[in-house]
Amino acid sequence: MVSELAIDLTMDSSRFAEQPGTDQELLAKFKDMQEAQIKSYLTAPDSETPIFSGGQDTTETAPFKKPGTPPMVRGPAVKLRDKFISFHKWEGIVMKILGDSFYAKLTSLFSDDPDEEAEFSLEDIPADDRPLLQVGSVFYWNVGYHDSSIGQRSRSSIIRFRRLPVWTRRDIEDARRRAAEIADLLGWEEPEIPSRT
Amino acid sequence: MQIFSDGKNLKSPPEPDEIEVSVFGPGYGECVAVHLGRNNWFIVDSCIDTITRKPAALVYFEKIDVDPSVAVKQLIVTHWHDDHIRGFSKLLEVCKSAQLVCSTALTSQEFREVVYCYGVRSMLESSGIDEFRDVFETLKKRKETGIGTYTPIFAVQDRPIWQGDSEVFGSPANYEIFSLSPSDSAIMASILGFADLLPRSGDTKRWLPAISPNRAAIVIWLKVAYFSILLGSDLEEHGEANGGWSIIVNSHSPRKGKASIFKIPHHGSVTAHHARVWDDMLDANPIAVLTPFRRAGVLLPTKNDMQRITSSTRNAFVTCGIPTRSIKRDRTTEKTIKEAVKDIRTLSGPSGHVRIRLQRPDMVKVELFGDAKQLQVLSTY
Repeated sequence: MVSELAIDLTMDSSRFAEQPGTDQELLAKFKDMQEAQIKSYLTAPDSETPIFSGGQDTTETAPFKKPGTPPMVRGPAVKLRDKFISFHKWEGIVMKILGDSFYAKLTSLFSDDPDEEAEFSLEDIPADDRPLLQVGSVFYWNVGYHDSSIGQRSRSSIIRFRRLPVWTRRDIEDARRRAAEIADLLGWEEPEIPSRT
Repeated sequence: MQIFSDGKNLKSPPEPDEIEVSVFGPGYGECVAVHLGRNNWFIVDSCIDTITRKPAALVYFEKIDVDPSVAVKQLIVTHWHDDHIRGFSKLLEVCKSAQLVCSTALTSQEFREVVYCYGVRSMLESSGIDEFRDVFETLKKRKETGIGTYTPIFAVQDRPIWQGDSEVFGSPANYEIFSLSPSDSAIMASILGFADLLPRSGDTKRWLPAISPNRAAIVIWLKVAYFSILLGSDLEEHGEANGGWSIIVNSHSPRKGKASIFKIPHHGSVTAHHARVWDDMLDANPIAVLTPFRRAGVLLPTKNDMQRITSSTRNAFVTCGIPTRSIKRDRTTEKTIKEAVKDIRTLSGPSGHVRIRLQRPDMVKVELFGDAKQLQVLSTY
């Protein structure tokens, strides 16, 4: 493997030919090092950008500052991202808002369990979502594990309100028309009423 | 009075001259089916059977081998709230010869606009409005096919809505049904309430909440021979002379006598209590039945409600216990849920059915099916 790497590096080393011998010497010195690890240390002069970027996990680099100086050896770094593993998820509808809490009807999105009702604290609602909290508004409630980017796991509950569309003049006119049509069809006479939109 | 709580004999239909009042309640919802002799049935409101997901009244008729397409004479929708209307459009479709009875407020332009604005099944929650959209469509079909009537009978205060001949207690008898409410002012208030629910351009779409308090529900008085039944719907009392129960107890109503069977209004809530209903309109110790309710943190009947009702009659029944069950989940999920919310409970529990049959006024049989029980038993929980 090291020999194959040497060929690759010879080609790459043409980019910093002003520093002859650097790469070959280092390769010889750290011949037992993992290939990807070595590659991760190779950067162009005056740059933090890795020369070799074929691997997914080689984002951490140690540039050569002086020819012949061995790099500090580190294990391959895997960049972690926040992850949520859901235990259960519901669609909720706000039924009643009290001073510091609200009641919601919950319908499971994971099972056929009967509907439930829960009381939530208002302080658990994200600030961005607070204006959306009204009787009749719809939200999703997710409980599960939160795996953080620094590798910690915690149990978590997330509430996000649905951004519902707004009523348009056309929606309302449509409803008015249909309401009048059904009355005409069934022979229910109604007086004309002014537009409320 | 005999009480049977063994759940047997559900499938036996009433005798042709027997009066029956069946109250169905699955913990959220209510339906009353009344037999006034000679296979004449009347249905007041609708709820869904929790096992079959069909209207509770239709499930019952199937069991007792009654054909609802000919037997049901009227379908009365007392108000539009979700717990009284679920499955009503299916009843209207199946009970082909039945007339629809409703408040005139429910045919107003304002209400129809509300129906066509909000009556879409795009959200998981039903507010009762979507069911009304289906009711309108079924009426439309009735007109197009020529099967059944499509013009509702309007229930208003002190109006006879049905009269007929029957046979009860072994003798021919006349029977009459009266609507005792809503009053004119309650109808007007309802229409204005519907107008307030209409959205304006630019408003965010959302699920439609119910209008409360309920001052415009239809209260029904059924009289056959000398025997009367009072069905209280959800009508509330807020001390207003021109509405609620006050206007009923103060009216010079065409009804006569006192009722022996009472469907307690609004799930036993104190907001629907009027002392003069018990004093002036009901026999001593009437058979009283209620359905429980749980929504938005409201749990009815309360302990106080139960005490008040059981002190007014020894013969109070409830269609089911109050749903308090929690869903079983794995420990980690349960722990996370309990940390995240103040309280969580299922909305429905086991359903039940209270059936009252009378072959003679002094031969009363109360049968309790499913989770139905005496209210005294529930009050000790």
